[in-house]
Amino acid sequence: MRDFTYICPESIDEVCQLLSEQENAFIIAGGQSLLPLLRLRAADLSCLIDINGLKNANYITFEDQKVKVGPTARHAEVANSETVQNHCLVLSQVASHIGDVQVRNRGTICGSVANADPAGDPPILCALLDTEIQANSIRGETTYSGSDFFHGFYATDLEEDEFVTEVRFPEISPPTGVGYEKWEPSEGAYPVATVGALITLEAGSISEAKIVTGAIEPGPTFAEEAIDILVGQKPTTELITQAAISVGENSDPIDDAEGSILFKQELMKTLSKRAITTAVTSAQGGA
Amino acid sequence: MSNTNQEPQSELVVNVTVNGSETREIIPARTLLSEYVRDHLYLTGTHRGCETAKCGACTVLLDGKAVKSCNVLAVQANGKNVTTVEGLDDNGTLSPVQQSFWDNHGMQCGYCTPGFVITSTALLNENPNPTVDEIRFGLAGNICRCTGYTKIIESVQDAAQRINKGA
Repeated sequence: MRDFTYICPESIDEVCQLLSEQENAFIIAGGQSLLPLLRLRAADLSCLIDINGLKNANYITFEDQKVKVGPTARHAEVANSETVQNHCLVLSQVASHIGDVQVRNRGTICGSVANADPAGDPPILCALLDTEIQANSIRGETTYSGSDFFHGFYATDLEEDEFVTEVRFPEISPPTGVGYEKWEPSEGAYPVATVGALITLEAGSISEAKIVTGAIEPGPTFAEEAIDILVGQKPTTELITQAAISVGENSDPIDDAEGSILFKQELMKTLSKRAITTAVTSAQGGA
Repeated sequence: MSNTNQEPQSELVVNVTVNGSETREIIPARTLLSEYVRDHLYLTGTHRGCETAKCGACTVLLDGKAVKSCNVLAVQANGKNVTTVEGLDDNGTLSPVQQSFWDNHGMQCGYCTPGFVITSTALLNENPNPTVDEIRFGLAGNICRCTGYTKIIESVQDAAQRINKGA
């Protein structure tokens, strides 16, 4: 690992100041993605700003109909939080299956969002739920919308002098439901294919649908054709199957060592059917 | 140590409580926690396996939580409590998890064992009565390349029984 300088400030203002002053500075939160990159010398930085010393940054609260996750809240804490389980169950479910237990004890939601790994779960969930992503810099506070924040491999709207200080998830309850599915080659590995579905029902028909695929493309991607198939229709098994097939066939996976294009498209059909079915069931008030 | 209102440093003083003893060293900022316990404190029970945060052989407890010490900087443990495999016994009496791994032969070559013992200890602290599925899920971050998983799971089940009996 190359040499770097390190500092562990206690306030958001100090972090913002350092980000604007220090050349080639990076934020470290959980470090579960950053440290492997540093060891491979794949990330080149000269200054590491550790935000684990921030005061009052490790919080999970429910205010204004939103679950607010602070910059140092760990995946394990989000997964086990009653606040999250009561107001945004899918966030708890997703957080409880990120990586393995050691990763969940260190990694943070805000860090995953800023890192924007194509196979990471929080970016996909943020795009699906149109989560509010708050970032700070010496220029002030900005709130980004999760549905258009991610732009491919590790690319987001974040400016170089900004860092993510809070992510706000909407409350999810019937008549809206969410389903989330992923396929990992082994427990705790990065998923090869991921899909999230959000369904809102009105008088027995689908009034709103969102489907976001992840891991197969460089970033979270909305499955527009499948969404068009679902909206305005009754959620029958035939309709869900048709939409799921459309997600797979219209997806544009990367061909790599983890699977061919055809394999990932087939995987996406199966996962989509499960995710949409779960979303419909929970929108109807089921488990 | 507080770095507040200071400049970023490439060498820092760290104070880490390791297995109950206070340690204090001046280290380069890039020092990994696994390097710190092995090369600075000579606690070589913590094994480095893959050094890519996959295998879990280097797992230690950081303030009671299992973490991979190759994926945490030593400076990030400043002011915190670290428990390595050397810190589990009680003056030479093996902990219930250690004794169960011994009695059930929860190992083949033994290289991954310190990591499994630490992760299992944390698992049983949080869930004293895990099912086999919960044990498998809880140990997903540790790899036994000899594939001796069956005996490892039996060891954790046995350890749970010992702990619940107060043995």
